[in-house]
Amino acid sequence: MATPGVSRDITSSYRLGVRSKIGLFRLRAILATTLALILALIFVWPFFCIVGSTFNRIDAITNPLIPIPAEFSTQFYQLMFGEKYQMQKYVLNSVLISVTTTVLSALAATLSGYALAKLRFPGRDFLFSIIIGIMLLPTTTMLVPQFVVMKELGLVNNYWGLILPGVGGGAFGIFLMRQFMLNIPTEMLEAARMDGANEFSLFFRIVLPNAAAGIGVIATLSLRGNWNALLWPQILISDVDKRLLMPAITMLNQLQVADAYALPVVRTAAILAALVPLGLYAYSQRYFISTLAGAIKG
Amino acid sequence: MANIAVAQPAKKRSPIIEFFSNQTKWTPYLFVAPFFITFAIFTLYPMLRAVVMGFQKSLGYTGQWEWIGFANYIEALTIDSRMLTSLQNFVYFALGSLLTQLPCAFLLALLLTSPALRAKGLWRTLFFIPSVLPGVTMGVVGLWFFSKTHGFANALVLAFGGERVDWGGFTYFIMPQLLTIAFWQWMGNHAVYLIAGMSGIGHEIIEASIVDGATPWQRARYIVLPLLKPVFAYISITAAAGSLMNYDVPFVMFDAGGGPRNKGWFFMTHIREMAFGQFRMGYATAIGWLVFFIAIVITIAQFRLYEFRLGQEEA
Repeated sequence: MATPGVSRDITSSYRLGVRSKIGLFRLRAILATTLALILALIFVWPFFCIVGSTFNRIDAITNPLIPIPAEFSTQFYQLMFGEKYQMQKYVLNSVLISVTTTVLSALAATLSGYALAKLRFPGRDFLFSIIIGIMLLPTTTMLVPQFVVMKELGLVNNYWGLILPGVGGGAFGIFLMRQFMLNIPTEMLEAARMDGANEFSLFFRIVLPNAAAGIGVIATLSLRGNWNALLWPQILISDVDKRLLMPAITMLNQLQVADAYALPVVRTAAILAALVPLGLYAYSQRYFISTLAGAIKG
Repeated sequence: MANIAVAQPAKKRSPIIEFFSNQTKWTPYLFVAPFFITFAIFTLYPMLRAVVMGFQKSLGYTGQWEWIGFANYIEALTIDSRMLTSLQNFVYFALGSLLTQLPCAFLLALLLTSPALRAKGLWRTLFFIPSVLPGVTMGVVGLWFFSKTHGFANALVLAFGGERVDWGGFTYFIMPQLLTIAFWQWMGNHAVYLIAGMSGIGHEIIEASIVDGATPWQRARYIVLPLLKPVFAYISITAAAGSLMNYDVPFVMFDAGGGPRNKGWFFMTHIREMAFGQFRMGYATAIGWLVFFIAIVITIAQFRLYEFRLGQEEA
């Protein structure tokens, strides 16, 4: 049995307990894997089917339970980016807004998180508790007064109205970044200060490169949040040409009664739109779960 | 601290000059400024305006307002039947989500941390993925899944010899549809948080229980489950808040109308409809405040219930 004080993970100590019963362990392994496989299939099978359905022809007789299209065709994809639906316009708009907001907000969140974790200044703990408080405030409910203020500032139907509210980094982003920055050794910063680095070069040369994983996480969250957002861009932007992708998809969805192609095109666009957060997450998932979990542990 | 040494000789300078001549003093405030400035302009100021707007009536989009006292709040709390509908739907949806998702998430977390299972990261990713997808996509998936003519659910029903069901046409099918989609989207997400919480449990505790002869089930029930309380707290706080702000999926699935007899009608749908459908900005603001306070009360209640504190682990 494990000696106290020697750190082992749960797996190895558990394995020690059943070492004498390797056959039983094998059986468990097969059982666990089969169960996980069945659950995973139930979970993702419908996704496969809906993806398959986007590669059908409109007049194909389909079986929704089978992900392989009855008559393979890229008809819906061609339609989607064609003259009539012009989804590429909305995709570009969404990319522009999401990327701009994300770059600015990641920088701001990193600066704030660094200051709150590693710099000593009067009022620091007070400011941090304010940020925690803001994080818990249901500010989404304030969208009507926010809209009214935007209108007075002349930012309705204007991309700055979508970008500016997010460029502060967001309370949650700052909170995550601060938790992340706590891991950066203070001695490293002190040493750089001794060598005469000013506060800005310290941030850009020492802190920023060491915070890459944390920045990856908050940038992913911000990009995903901006890309997936529906309600705020829906009410703020009314110009057809300025519309973002998510509101554009819902708009087309409402035309399904009048247009037989609308529904399959909506389905195709919704699946394609999901690829962005999917790719992002696949790219940054290594840091993702551990950083998020680190923030709530305790 | 080279900068301090430089600043010291000048003793009689005013505190303001003193402050700005020492870079280590003012840079922290500069670094946190972007957040507080944008928060002040785009959230705090609108909230202060909202205090006034809740007592007013907007005359269209003209920018003119009329003072009407508590009329908005009285209407929202007594006359407006869709407020009650929203509240009922929220309670149904929030409780339904937690009761279906949390037990399954806990069991899934146990399965995915089983020492017998290989490639754990892959499984976690697989179940986590739906939670990162856009609400619009999940709504469209729901629309397709429960479609009467070419949906997955009906194909399944037909395959088992049943008859086509008009999922969207019956009031009692609306909430189960939303709960199914929510289960799909969030269960794996909760499981991943629970797994992260499990990996934080001290190994000594687990080893001690093995030495004491606890069965895996006893260990899960009496050791792991109680120690996961902060994670359950976090999940249920965020899930309740998320349910209160539920908008995307019902909007896509029920076409802004909330489905038959408003069974898919939620607070945010109501606020949007009042403000941008009926142009009653003051009334929508008043509803916003009511939802705001419901959210705060629920959060505080859960913090108390779970004795939960955020960011408490470090000084």
